[in-house]
Amino acid sequence: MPALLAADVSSATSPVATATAAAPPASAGPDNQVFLELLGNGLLYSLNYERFFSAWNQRFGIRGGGSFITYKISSANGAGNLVLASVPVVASWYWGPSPHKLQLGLGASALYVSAATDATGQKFSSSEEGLGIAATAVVGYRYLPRDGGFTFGIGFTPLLRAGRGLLPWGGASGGFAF
Amino acid sequence: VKLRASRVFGALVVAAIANACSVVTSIAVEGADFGGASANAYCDRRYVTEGGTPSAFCQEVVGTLAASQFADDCRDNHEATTGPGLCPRAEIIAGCHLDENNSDNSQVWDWYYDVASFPDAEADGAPYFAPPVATSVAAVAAICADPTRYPQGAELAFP
Repeated sequence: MPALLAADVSSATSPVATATAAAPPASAGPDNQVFLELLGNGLLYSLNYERFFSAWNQRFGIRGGGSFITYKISSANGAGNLVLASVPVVASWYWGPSPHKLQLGLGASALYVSAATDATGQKFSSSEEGLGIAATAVVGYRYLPRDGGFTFGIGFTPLLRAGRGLLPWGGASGGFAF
Repeated sequence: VKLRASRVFGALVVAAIANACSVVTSIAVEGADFGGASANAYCDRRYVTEGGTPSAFCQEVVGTLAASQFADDCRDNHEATTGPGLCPRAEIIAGCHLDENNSDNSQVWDWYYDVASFPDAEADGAPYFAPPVATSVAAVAAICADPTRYPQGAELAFP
């Protein structure tokens, strides 16, 4: 690790050293990624964009995403749909040599539910109907090539919500880094 | 032998897919429930509209994703009174907690009422409520234990 840090310092100050460095800095890598996550911080699924940045010779990412599901629960004529939407926002630290990264993150997911109605228009809702917030986290693995390209990950993504407690949850994702 | 082996393999694949679908459904239900998509609903069979047959019980489903479907079924199949929430607690003798494994992890109770003083009970001298009509906790316990009524089994419960 000290050798890597030394390479980082020299690469920042000398063009010759940049050309001859044996290993690029751990903080190098793509600036962006887009990915689809199944389950995970967005609850059932989410489409996400993540912006990477480097600080203190480490790699970080800020991610935002969204999901939207609408489903007609009752088959009766006139029945209304259930709507479930989520907006996960997660800040992550990526550790390890490319392309294999340990991901540790914290964030929140905004959850929105609109209950389905029956054929008479009567709503069947829980106490959580409307907008709510759940705290969330990520402990996982991410395949993130230094030069970008296909990326995927898998991890433990628990959610914590007042009134509902802890949901031990997980997710898997795939996408493109650039 | 080859044909038998391929059939066995086919059956295993179907079983694996069915099992995977069941697991996926179960996970999705868990997530939707956490999101707040599940609700409670009741179907009060005592109060029916014209054409319906009154029964001396009310069925409630707790924590279901299909509350609106349950309500529409209650109205369409039984002409009964439905709504969000739990069955009315007044006049309940006891109930049966159904031993069913619903795909959305919901719980179902049938609550049996004391209908002796029901306004329409003896309007024309004929029995107003379809059987069974319970008059005691022991009678409700017998209903719960009746396999023709509850093939999956049911346990005596109190509100």
